[in-house]
Amino acid sequence: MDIFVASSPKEPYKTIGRRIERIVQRLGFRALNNHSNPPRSSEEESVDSIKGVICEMSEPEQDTLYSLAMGLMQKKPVLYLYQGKTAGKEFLRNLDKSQRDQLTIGSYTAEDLDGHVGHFLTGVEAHPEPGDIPNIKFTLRITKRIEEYLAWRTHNLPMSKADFLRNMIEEMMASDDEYQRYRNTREDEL
Amino acid sequence: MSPVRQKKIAVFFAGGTVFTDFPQRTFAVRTFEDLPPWLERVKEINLIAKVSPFFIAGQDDPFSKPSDWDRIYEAIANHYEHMDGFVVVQSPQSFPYAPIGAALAFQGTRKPIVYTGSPLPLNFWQLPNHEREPLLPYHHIGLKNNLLSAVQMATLDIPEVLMVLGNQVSRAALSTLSRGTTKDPFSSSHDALMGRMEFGLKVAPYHPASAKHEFRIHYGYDAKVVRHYVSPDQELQAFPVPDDADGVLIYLNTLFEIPKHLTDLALIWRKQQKHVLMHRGHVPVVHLPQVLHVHMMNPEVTFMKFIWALGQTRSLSKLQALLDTDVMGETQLGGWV
Repeated sequence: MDIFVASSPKEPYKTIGRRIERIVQRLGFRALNNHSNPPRSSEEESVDSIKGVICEMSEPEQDTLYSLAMGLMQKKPVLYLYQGKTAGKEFLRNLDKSQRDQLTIGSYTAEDLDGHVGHFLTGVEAHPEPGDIPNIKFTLRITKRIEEYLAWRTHNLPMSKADFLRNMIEEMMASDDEYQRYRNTREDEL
Repeated sequence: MSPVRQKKIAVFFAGGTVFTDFPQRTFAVRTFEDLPPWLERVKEINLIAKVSPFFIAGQDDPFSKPSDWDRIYEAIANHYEHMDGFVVVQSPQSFPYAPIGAALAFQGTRKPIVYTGSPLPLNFWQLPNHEREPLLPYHHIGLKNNLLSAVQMATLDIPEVLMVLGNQVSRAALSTLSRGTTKDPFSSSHDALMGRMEFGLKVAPYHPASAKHEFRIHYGYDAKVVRHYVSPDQELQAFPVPDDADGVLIYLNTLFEIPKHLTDLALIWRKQQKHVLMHRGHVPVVHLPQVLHVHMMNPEVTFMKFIWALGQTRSLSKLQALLDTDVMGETQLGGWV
């Protein structure tokens, strides 16, 4: 898994960026950064291969802001790190709610930097692909009997009625050979 | 944290605005009213610049002729002093001609002018496979990414006209249409490549392509130029040239001598008050009287520069002088890249 680390080219932030890269590598990820010499092979760093973005934003430069914007646009999990108590909030006012929801924001010190990065990467490993996030609103009218069944069926289960229906459909999709063949054909096309 | 001074970037919309989104929807700017919801889907650009959008033409509007592009050049000129950089979203079918037109129009520009656009049609998802397949790389790379990168390039202090397309950033004046099998639509000499987009944007150290000229604006691409390509195995027949043409551009390719038929035709066109320009790559052509000549210049640049020059003068000597003057490093290239 590739993690993109963006930091200011100024010191001490460039050195901090390198330290973040080492933490990333120690945890078993490949670290890429915004300071590499241009231009390189496009195969090395495709948008799809990046699974998460870490931005050191204590003193953001144009290039770090670009990496942040690219991470948000690509719906990647983004760790927004800054030093100090209130520094980050000033900039974060420029973001709307959906963008802020995509961010993990952390004020760090030299002592707890490893912890911030480690916690974020644990989340990245568990992060679902965009197509797996249930974000399409769907209105379904059901009968009283179905509602009664759903309520009864989920009463002692650790899931909502909506989760129960989602899981049921996921299972149907997984076992539907005709649909799987259709999906494979489409992926080949794309 | 000290706040970053956001640069003011004008974004002009003139077609090439189709992008796709999950699940299989397409979005485009067809009218002025489409602009706010379209921009809402690329709101991340506001993180890197203060963006001022301007509607020039819609997705379905005809906008393929150099004279159409004057509307963009005029809009850039009108906002030139008040903005830090410019982005033009336009159909790549008009690349690299439209960006070259801008490079000539804004000679010695102090500010970046960056072209990008989407080649996708609105019915992308309804296209049959064989038509959709060549466009898939663009679907994958996506106009949204390219727009973000174009805005980023416009914030950098690169005083040139650039193109952001495919996954690369290139100098407009040094790029030519690909004539080989490559996924990039333009062949770029080493000097033309300014950067590459991966996840991050890798920008090469900036070296001016030519000595910087004093800044001046001159556009006006109304002149009509017809082009003919001549190859060694082609039998020379009458080259159709409409009555209202102002100029005829002949690409001689690898011919070492100008065929006699063509010499005769050139004289006939001159009598019809049409200017004739002979283009060849590395080897200078034998000069014919009353005929303009260029070599060491891209075919696309030659075409746009001929129209640009005709927009300023009809004097043979002044036209030749304009064609010979290096504006942006374009006279050092060679004909076919």
